[in-house]
Amino acid sequence: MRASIQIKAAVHAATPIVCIFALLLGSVPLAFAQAAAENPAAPDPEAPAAPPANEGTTADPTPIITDKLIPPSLKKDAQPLYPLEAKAQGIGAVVVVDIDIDANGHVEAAVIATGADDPNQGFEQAALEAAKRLIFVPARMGETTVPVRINYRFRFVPDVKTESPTPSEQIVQKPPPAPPQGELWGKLRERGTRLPLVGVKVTVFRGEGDQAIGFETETDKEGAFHLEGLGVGDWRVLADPQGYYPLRITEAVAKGERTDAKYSIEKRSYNPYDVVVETQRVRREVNRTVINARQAERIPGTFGDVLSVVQNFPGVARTVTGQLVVRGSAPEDTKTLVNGVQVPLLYHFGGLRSILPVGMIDAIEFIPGNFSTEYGRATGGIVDVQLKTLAPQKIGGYLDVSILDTSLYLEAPITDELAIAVGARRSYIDYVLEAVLPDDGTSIVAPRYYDYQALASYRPTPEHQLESFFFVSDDIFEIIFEQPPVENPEFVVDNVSFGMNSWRLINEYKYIPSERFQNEFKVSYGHNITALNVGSDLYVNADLTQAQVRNTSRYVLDKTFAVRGGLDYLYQNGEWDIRLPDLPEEGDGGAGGGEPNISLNADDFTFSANKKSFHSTGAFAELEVTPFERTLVIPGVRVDHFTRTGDTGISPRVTARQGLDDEWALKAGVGFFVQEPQFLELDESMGNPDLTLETAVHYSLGVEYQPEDYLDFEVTGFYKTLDSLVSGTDEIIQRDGQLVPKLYDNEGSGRVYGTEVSLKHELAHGFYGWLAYTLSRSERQDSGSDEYRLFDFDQTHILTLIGSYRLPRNWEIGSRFRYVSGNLYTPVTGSIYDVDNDRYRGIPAGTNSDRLDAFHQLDVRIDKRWIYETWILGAYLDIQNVYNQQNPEGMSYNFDFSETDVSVGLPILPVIGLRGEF
Amino acid sequence: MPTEYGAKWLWMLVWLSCTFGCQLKNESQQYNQLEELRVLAIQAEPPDLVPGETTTLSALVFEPNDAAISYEWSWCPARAASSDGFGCTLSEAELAALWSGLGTGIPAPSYDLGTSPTAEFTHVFPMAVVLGICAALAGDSEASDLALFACLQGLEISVSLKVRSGGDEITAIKTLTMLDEGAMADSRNNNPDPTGNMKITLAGRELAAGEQLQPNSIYEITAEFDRGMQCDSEVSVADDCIAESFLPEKREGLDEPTPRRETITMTWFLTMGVTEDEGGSREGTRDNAGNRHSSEYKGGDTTSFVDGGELRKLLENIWTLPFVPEDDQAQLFLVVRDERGGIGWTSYSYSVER
Repeated sequence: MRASIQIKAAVHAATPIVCIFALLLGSVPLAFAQAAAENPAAPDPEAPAAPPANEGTTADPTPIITDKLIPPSLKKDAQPLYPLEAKAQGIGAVVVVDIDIDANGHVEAAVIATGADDPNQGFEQAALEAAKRLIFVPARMGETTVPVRINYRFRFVPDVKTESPTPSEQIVQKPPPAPPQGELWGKLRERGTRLPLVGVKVTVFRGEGDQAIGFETETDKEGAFHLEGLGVGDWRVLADPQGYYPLRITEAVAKGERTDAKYSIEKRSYNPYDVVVETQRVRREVNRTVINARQAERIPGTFGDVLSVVQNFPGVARTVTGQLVVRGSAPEDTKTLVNGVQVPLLYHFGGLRSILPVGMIDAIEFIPGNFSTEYGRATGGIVDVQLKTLAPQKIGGYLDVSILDTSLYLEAPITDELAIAVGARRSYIDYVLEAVLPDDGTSIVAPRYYDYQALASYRPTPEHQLESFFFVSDDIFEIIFEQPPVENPEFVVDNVSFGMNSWRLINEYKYIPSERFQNEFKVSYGHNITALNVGSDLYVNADLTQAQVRNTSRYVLDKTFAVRGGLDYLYQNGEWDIRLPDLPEEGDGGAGGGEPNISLNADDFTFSANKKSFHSTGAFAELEVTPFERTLVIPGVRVDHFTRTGDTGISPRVTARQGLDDEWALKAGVGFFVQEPQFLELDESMGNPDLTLETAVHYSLGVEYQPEDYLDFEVTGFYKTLDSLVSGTDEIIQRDGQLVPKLYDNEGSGRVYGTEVSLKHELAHGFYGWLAYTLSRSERQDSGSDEYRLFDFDQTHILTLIGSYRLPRNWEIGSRFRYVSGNLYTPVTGSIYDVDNDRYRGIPAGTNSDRLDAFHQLDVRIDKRWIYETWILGAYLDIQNVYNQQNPEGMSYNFDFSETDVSVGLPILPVIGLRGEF
Repeated sequence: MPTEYGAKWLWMLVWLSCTFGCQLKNESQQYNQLEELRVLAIQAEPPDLVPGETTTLSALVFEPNDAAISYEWSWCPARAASSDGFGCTLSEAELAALWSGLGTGIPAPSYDLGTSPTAEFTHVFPMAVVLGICAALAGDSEASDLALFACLQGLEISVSLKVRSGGDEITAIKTLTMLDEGAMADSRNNNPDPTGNMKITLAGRELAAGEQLQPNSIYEITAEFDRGMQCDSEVSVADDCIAESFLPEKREGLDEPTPRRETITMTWFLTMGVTEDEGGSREGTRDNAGNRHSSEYKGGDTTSFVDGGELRKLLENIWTLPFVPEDDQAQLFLVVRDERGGIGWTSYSYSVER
């Protein structure tokens, strides 16, 4: 690092080079000041006397002296040559040269700081050539010599009689003719991504020792730079931006010509983890986990499915299908949103693959409980998928190929204010199955899914931002049996088909005029069509239209108070035609299975057909109170009205956070939450339309410790009470003058309690990962029962260890280890033979009274990226269940339940994929 | 909305596929292989009753060692769910108390139907009694005012048979439909009758009567009923088909029913060897002119005849005898069920060379 000193020195003429310097500030604090003729540099007593100044030139060194720095002094002067033509014409000039002096007093580089008025006279060139030959007594800091940069002024004065020469006056001889010159125009970009490198210092130099000459400049916002007035011949170009490999190359400059060059500089690491998740020290919720999409994509065992990462967070139970069981709540109690907007489904086939491409996702936000009043209609947790705010600097994207599907993503800037992105994906397992399955007469339309999306961001001014997001998802699956595998004559299954199509449009307008106020307005509209057929007796045909309008405003009153509130309106219009048996309900058999009490007699199937509209309106408000430093209390209330049940739910909530110091914080929350019963539970034919809202109260208390910016340790205790839960009943009631089975009531209840431990290591020292452990118990009390039983998805211990390490040469290796308590199941203690259905029916023991062996599994993922000039090739190998553990997933029985066996999950499963990014 | 279920549909598909297709891996005994005490069928003749009518209950029971079998018959107004061990929802004492209040002049039928290999049950349930029982099942004693929807369609009672032999015990249950006085004669069901011969062919040669079967041999077997084989023609044409023609009840959510043949299921049980596990038919197709066509299919250890299919094809099977037979006698049982609770069976015995 260099100190910078301005010195007015001998005046020479130089070539017209205008350079932009990136000043390198040294560790020594300095005050920059204009050199003044009244402050000449103190002559070094050891320096030889300077030769008399040449005709027409004067030198005026005026160093800036600080208390600590002793500036350099001229030891050996050099005479610039006065351009003959300029001298003959009587043209003078003042040229200021920036001179880099090393610790030995030699000139390392000289660059024109201020050129002559007329750049065509050759003053600059003459000044530079002379500057290179100067030798100084080096600057000193105490006893140590230090490199410095000085401004050295050369003044060319025509026909000026020589005055008493000063040691720094130079005798200017007649300069030689200006040498031939050319120009160098260059552009720096990042190799592989083609992103422009902005603000990078570029040095162009040649020669060595006393003959060395060089110039510096800096790249602009396009990554471009240019240098004019370079002498003809070879020049060495050097650029060494931080985080990149240095560029060293030689360019030839021709006389009167412009040399154009483009340089791609390779980054030292292309690890996407380089985007560090910034966890806010002061948060609204007691527990809130945010993970960047590019980090989530690389979690081992998830095959690159970003949304699957939520299953690895503390408080989330493990399920086979990917359903989210958050702190012992049923899957339907947790809502998954996109930018705060409710979206019915985010997965193909209910859990196989998410429908959103990673390119459009910015981050996944997960709140396991005690969430803000801005979220409602849920008693479990919240998963909010945050879409990216587009700001691409170039056209780019990726093509991703795996064994499951292929996806394509493109984004592009249209103008400085507008950017768009599009994506598409299609599976091809259907093609594979059609090719490999034998033709035995059974016709299969294998599972096929596709989705496509479009995202646009428009930001006309910093205060206004508009975003529009549109997506379509389509799933289909069909089997036609040539010979139906029917053993029950009352339920003939000659075909099974499933199809689901959905689309959504989400528009968002953000207005942030100042730090005190912001407003977010969102409106969404969409359509879902579901068609399921099993034979001709069992079917589901549903057509749903959904619209949602949300508005959230936040106003900062002062440094202590901020208020936040809004409205949330949801409209649903559905038309359905359903014929189903009694489906297994929670409590019928546990996650590990049991003897389902399902009648396959088609005469017992229930039918429902209707068309209705439902509304749900919510209003919320909360106050952010910061009475003291490190203290944040957020009381709030939400009011929801549901037309389907006719109920209004009032949900008061409060969370608090108290920082103890820079590292420790306490947090707590208590809140009331409501949600509607599920659709079929409220149906007039298949359920009980008189059901009321389900409710829950969340309590949580935790401590947070952040010893380093990249380390976060949290322990949270939680307790939930669940009331008015929908539960099955055999009661017969009168409704509209008729006796009907009640089917469901709100007499169920539940309780969940436990502790979550989380240790998260953000990217630092090449490592990223986390540990999540949950110890919990989830219980339910069914209608008419006095005792609690374990919830189907109760898992006492849930341990997840995830770690990824960045290796040299763009290698990454990651692993995930999970240990989870075994699934509950209801054992069968005996059986009877059902003659009518020709099958044995098991006699179960207590519901969820036994548990399978624990689940444990190791997944490993290896990534490698190859960086090419304009694109990057990535490959990954994701191996699930590396040591091929036979994890029990459920119990199975022989035909008369006299023998049992354990169904195991997937064996070792390697998946490879390729991705090309450009 | 249904889409809220999301993964629930997937769960149901998985459950259904496993219900139909998932079996215990490495199961030591196949369903249709008889190795221990089994109840294969219970027949009620007639299978449904009008008031005053008596049905005779009999059972097809297999005992591997020809040991003595004890029988215990009983009935119950309604069977509880599996979680309650399939017990009776209304105790005999509760029924007796209810019955005495109805003033029918008929003694309440005892739940105990005896310990003989066969039993009899008489329909002594006038509609008033049916309503009373239904009300009692619902826990409501106002029998004169209430008519429960489930019982209005006809009281279904449950018959139970417990057989014991040696140390083994099996309990089987069957539903009996108690029709009301106005039940139409042509809506009555009959038990299918599969009695007849079975043709056995080995390498194209039909076995003679009494000829021994050879170990480690693959036989083509075809059941030939004495009657009820003419199932190919239209329903409207009078024919002799084991699958009776009838007008199904209107099922909510489905189109108006039209007369069709019953769907029947045929299951092979055997004491030795294995049969093919494929089998079944689907509804015969029709072209635009309404002509019937059928597809190539074959029988198996469990097959289903659906109206429009070819019955004859479904009665074929492949029977593979073991390399070393453990017995010198092999038995085949063919049990035929219709979709309305009717059931019938036949059996065949053969000597096996050892």
